[in-house]
Amino acid sequence: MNRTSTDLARYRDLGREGGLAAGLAAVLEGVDAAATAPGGVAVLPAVLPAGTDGPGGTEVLPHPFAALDGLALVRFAADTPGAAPGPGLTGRTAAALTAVRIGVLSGLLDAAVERLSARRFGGVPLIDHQFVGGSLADVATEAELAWSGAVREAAADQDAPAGAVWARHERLTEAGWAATRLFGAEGYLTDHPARSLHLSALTADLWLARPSTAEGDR
Amino acid sequence: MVELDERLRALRGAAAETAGELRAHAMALDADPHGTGPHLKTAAFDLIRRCTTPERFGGEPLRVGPFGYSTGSSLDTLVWMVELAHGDAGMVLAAPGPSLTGILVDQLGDDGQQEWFHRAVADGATWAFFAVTEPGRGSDAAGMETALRREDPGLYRLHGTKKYIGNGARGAVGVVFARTGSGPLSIRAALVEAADPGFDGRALPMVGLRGAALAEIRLDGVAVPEERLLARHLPPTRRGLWGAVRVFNTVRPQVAALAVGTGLACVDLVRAERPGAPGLDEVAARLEACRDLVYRAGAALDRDRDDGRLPSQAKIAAVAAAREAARWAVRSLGPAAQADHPLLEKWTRDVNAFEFMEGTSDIQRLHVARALVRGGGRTGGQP
Repeated sequence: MNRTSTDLARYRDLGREGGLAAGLAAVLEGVDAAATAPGGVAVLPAVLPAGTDGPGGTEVLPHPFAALDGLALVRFAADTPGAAPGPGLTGRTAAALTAVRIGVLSGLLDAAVERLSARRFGGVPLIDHQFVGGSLADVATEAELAWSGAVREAAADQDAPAGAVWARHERLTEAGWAATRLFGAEGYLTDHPARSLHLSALTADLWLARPSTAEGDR
Repeated sequence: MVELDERLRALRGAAAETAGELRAHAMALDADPHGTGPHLKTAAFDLIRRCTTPERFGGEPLRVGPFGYSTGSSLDTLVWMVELAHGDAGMVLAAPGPSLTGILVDQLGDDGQQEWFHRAVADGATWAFFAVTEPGRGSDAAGMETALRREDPGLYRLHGTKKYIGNGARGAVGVVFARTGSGPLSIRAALVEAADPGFDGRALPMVGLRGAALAEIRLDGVAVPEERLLARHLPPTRRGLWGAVRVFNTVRPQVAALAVGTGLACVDLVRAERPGAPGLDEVAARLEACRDLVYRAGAALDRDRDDGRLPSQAKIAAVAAAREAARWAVRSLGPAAQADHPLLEKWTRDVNAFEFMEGTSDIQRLHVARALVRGGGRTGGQP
């Protein structure tokens, strides 16, 4: 494992073992959030009551369950220094966020395998149904693909275009949704750990710049 | 393609006029799914009540110009439901009334049971629950364990737990499925009142579509007089899951309608904020095709209540299209959009709910494949 992989593995393991908030906190170490957030809003690793003033002149926006994962949705005040639209997470920080999200996904995939092995439908363990096994394999493959993409990006001399970063995260978002489905309706309750997959997507949505118009037309 | 006649176009227009009000209430309901009081007087709730309460049980059918709308038509329901969900699907599911329980009672209830149920939910402020699903058995209804035990001649008691039940904590009346024995024909449906001793409905915290107010229902010896058992007048093969299957067939395109409406709401937002957004025409066209498929499923059900192929296909297609529309809107409107437009943030949560309602997409795929193997119709628009 090269240095880049080792660095990213730390983020991945933090996401897996410590959760999304712990991983995001590590990603944002040394990052000027107000100057970086591409839309003047962000998900931050903090539990803050909605409607209050957060750190650094932020307004805490309501969200029904972000606080359950130790996260807050905030808007930077217009007069906050550097609050103009930022570049979003790029390069190594975008790769680190990818690694955190892979870690969160990985932990939940383990939980999904345990659930699908224990539950039966038609007398057969769910995991042995072709649809289910296929979905599980697809999610795991997307996680590996995202890992390779993140390692390449972290090792590159130049930051990848926003479209490439967005596309990698969007595929992770879809993989997260596929993983959520493996939990059935219980994964749609906020007291289930799969809520982190939804928040993982929201975090990427708010921290990443969008592709240019031409790239966005898919 | 289903061409709506003048009568259905009038219904569609009347429903569309009420959708904006639903959207105005949507965020408040999302923040407090059980605080339904401020929403009960919405015009859309009145439309739903008129379209779902049979006239013979005190209902006042909707009239639009020269046209009247009685209950029972799937296509009628789907026409208004797409429009209302275009306002907000969570609000649609928060509407009081018979909901899917009414569909079952109309299929399996005798005249007295139908009248008792419909009059119980006709006041515009009463919800009904439909309790089939159990913890750990989401798609395996035949494996249910909730017991309906005969205590005395004419009296049964319910023991067990149901989960993910819409209106399960706010409904005053509803239906609970349970088994009297181990055989496939031992599953029965019982009318139940939430106020009965032994009934405990607890709200579940949902990621989205919170207006549906899912709950867990614990049943600890709830008394069921024999006259509350549905389908006593029907043969044994028509008493239990057969009725539930018919309800699910009927409701699946309704879930698809909710998905289409939500997807169209996302399109509205992008069209308003970024009229030239790449992909707008494609996303909108896909949703309109889904709408037509939903209508076709409704027309098929109105011909044959047991024809479940198009309903399943409509749900598969619409659920995927709605999620894709929501992601496209997030991508198109930029990183601040989910803060600047709280409805978009909510809709990104809502669209995922449709996957889990009335059978996942994988379950629908099995239904479609089985229908094709049985020779239940050729594909590609052929009946």
